[in-house]
Amino acid sequence: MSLIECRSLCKDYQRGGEAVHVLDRLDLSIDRGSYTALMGPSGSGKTTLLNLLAGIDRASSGELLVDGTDLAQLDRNQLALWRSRHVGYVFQLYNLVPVLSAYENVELPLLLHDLTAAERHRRVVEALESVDLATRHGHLPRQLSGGQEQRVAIARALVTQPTLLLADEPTGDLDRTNADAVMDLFGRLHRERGQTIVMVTHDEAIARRAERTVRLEKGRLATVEVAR
Amino acid sequence: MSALLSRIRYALRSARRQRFRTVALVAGVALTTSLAAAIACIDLGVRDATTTRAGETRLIVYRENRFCPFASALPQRYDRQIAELPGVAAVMPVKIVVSNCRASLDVVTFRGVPVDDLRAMAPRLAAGSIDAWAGHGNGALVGRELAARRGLRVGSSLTAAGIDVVVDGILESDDPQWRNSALTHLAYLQERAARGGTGGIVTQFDVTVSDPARLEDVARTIDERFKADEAPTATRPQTAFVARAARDVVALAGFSSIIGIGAVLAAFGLLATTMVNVTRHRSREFAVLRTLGFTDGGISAIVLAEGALVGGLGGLLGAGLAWFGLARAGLAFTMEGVSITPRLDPAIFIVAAAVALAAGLLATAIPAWSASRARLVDLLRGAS
Repeated sequence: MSLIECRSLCKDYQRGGEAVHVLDRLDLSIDRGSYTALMGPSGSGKTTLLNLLAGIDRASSGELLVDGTDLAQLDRNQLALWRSRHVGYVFQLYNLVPVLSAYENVELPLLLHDLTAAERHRRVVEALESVDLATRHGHLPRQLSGGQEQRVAIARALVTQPTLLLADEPTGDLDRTNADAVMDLFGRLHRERGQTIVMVTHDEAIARRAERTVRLEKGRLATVEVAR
Repeated sequence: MSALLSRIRYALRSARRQRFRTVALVAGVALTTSLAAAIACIDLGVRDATTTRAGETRLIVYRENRFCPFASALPQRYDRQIAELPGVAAVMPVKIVVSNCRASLDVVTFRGVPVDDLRAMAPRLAAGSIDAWAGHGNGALVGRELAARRGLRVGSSLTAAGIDVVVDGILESDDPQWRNSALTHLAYLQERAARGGTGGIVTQFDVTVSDPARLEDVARTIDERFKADEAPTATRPQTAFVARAARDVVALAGFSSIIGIGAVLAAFGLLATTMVNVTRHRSREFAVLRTLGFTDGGISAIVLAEGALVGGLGGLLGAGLAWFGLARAGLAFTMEGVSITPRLDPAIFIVAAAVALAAGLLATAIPAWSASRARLVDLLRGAS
């Protein structure tokens, strides 16, 4: 059953007075509980598609339904609220708030949910345990390694139990060991929790960890490969 | 409500973690607020002392064309002649000796007054007794503010301008002239100041009129009475007399108000610039927050909460600092023997703290708006 439906999805930019078609009538379905890697050369529209799926950007035309919600119908604040309920986003450069501890960074998205302090605490502890950082609660981002920072970012993305986990080159800034650790974590989340994951990557080896690889070229769907 | 509280909590956390920046901003607002509040108190004190009010009944009779207590010499016998004039309720001859005739923050002003006249006025004493003073030739009742400045208590000795006195009481009064003077026996001060010559000479007469509406008439009558005498007089309502005698202090207070306003505006400009830069520096953080689901209003609330924290805390500290400093310092601007003291009106401190809070909010209003309106995808592009 598909969680994401893109129909004739277009995204255009004006650059130097010229229209650039970043996404060009893209049709794509992504199933609930699936693990998808988005690949393609630079400028093929991978990150733009990820941003549209996250409700960070808006399509120029076409239809985008996520879990039955037509994102084009939501205003800025409704979109923000929708993101807080349905999307967990992992950045390439982690983007933790530098003045907050690992615990406080993970707690951040929960401040938008109507939860008791005890429930919030339980969820933060659980999320940090799930990324093997139970002993790093009080550490500031600068006191963590790159791999640990990314795992805190993943915990932050997961703590709201989102419908959709989106990751923009989550291993792009990590060495192989830490990249493998993050990918193991994604695999575990997918297998054990049935988490829907869409991940942008340039790395073929990383993409092979996903169930399905979607390749984009010039804003269009080029191929879809399903892992055996 | 809980959503708003969570944003305020985030702002507090952020401010706590950016300790140096927060402390520097709060200290800047506090110092500016304390400066502004202190200047407002001084300005109010100047107005109190120099603005003629309906109901004013006090006249000061001085030697014509003299503006310094050293130069104003009037025969004490004038008191009886003034008392006989229509509209005069009471006359008190006063001999004034000051440690410094020019504008200064720590002048000792001795006022020699007749014992009976002072008793008739039933002055309020914070310590000591008027009977002890009456029976003590070189005793003095010291005004509360002078006592605070000089650390004087009952039994202390005070020496200034060649006059030695022993403190017999601490005087409370609504009149800043009395709060900043040492009241001595008139005869003692005349004798000590005359240095073997001019007993029977006073500096001024404090005249109380029976009807405030006749204040100017009585002043004219007094001056008319002594016009052809050996010591012609110039009589003014007390507030006008203070304004004339302390004109340099009044001008200085006016000038300091302008400097104060300039300092407040400069501090506001610095605060606003700092908040704009801080917000710009945090565009990545705000992009992340918006990705997590914080709304435009939520981001604005965080920035405004930090502005309110800096302005509110700085305002409270500054108002408290000004209050404490002025109350402890017992500040008095004295010139030509008249004193002007700041008035510690609670309304000034409340308004100063409120203005600091408003300035904090205003300084962050534009950064808050721009932080919430920037396109998220552009912010993230800058952040990645």
